[in-house]
Amino acid sequence: MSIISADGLSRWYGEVIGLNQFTVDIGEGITGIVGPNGAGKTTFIRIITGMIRQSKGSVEVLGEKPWNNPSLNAKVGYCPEHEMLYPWMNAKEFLIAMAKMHGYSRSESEKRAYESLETVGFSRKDAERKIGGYSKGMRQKVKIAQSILHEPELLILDESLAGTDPIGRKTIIELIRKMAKNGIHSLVSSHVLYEVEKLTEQVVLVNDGRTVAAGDIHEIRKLIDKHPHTVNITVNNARKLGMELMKKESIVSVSIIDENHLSVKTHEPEVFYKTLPEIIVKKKYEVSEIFSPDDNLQAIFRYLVKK
Amino acid sequence: MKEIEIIKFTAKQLFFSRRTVVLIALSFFPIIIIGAWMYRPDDSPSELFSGVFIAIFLQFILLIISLLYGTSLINSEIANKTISYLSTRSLRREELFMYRYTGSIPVGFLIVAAPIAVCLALLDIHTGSLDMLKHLADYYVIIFFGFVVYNAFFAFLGVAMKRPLMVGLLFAFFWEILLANLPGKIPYMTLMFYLRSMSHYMADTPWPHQMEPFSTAMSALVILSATAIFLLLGTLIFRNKNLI
Repeated sequence: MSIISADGLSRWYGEVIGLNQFTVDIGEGITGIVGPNGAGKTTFIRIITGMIRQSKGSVEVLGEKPWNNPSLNAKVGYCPEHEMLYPWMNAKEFLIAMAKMHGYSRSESEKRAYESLETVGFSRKDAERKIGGYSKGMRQKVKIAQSILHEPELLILDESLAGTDPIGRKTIIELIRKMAKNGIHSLVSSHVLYEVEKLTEQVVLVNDGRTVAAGDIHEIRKLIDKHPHTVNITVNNARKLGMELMKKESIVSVSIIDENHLSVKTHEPEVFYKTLPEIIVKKKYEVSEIFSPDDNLQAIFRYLVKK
Repeated sequence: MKEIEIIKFTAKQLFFSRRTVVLIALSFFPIIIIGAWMYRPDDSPSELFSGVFIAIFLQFILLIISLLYGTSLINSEIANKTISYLSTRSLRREELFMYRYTGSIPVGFLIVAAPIAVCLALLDIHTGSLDMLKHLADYYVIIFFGFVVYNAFFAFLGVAMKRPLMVGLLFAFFWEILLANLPGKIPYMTLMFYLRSMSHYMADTPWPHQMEPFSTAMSALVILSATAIFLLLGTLIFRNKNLI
């Protein structure tokens, strides 16, 4: 069964193209929509949540048109990318208000507010504090809580894993998995492929407003893994670390840039990221920066598009 | 239930905004004028309050409050990106617009209601009578109609324009004040003309024009018709608006 289907969806912002003939068919369960910043993920999500209208093409969510559709809103939960909330309220008041706006009674709204706060791991004490004083992670939890309090059939999370601490991220991932087990479908957008890989095997890769690839992540991963992943490291002894890394099978090449900088290419980033800390700790290297120019996915997408 | 929640939510949101503190302070300014008068009473209490009511409450404070609240109803939600929480609830955009508008009226009214009552009470304490306070309800009706029509206009402006404040200021202080005080038939085109007509008949405030004021019922009808048009336009625009 198709949960979201888009056919030739285009959206222009003046002369800028947000989505370009975007066609996709998203099925049941958890689906990741992955692409670099500016790829068109948020534009697609804004269209399917009825925030904006497409310039061309058609789209259906749970078999209905999303524009100005309150009955569909009752079945969809949306967690936006931005951090904005109402700073003058506390989380409890905010969630009760949001539940009431779905038509629930005061007592039912209160019950749902507490349940959803509990689900995202938010304490009652914190829920009584003004949102204005919340950290980024706490805001993220409140945003997710407001998207699940009406028990939607479909949950749409726009970059919800970004900026969360490891515990928060784990909570969100577990929550999405738990909801999937209960038959709630999720669409999770991210610009970090590794994040989405932890959640689902079904992904849609988006770049320049188009679908680059869609389907099983393992098939897509095979394509990506052929593309060497670059990692730049700033360390107190670049030459020594470089020589050590060259002994590893996962490494394709090592370039020593200067005394403190080296660039490593690997076919197996996951193995590399597991090995590197072990070497650093064992040999007591002083590493001040590890940066991958490929992690923003732009390089991977360029690679896929070229193919 | 959800309708009442949007109204309550909007009223609370406006009331707890930072601008409300400034607006409350501003609306208590006429009390200082009344207090100063009590030391040197030149005019009669009714002459004094009529002037204060028209020049400060009606033509300044009411317009400022309406401008700031009305334009922010949808516009600030879009600018702050919080519109996504409201627009994805189980209600139509038309309803959202209408209930947000409805929620804005009591807040503005309450800000102005208290200082008007204080001003009238001070004047009556000074004269030892209840001559001024007996008109309190009349002043409240005029102020209420003012908020009904101006909030509708500014709410419409807030969905029609990305940056409505400048146009709103021009409308408030050029169109509604300057044009409303010109001789000839131009004031007929302003909403202030009808509010002042109501005020003249209901609270006996001075009438500055050569032409006759409209009756209270006729003025109320014009104001309500204008309100309906602004709300209809606002609803139509918001229904088709991209919320980014």
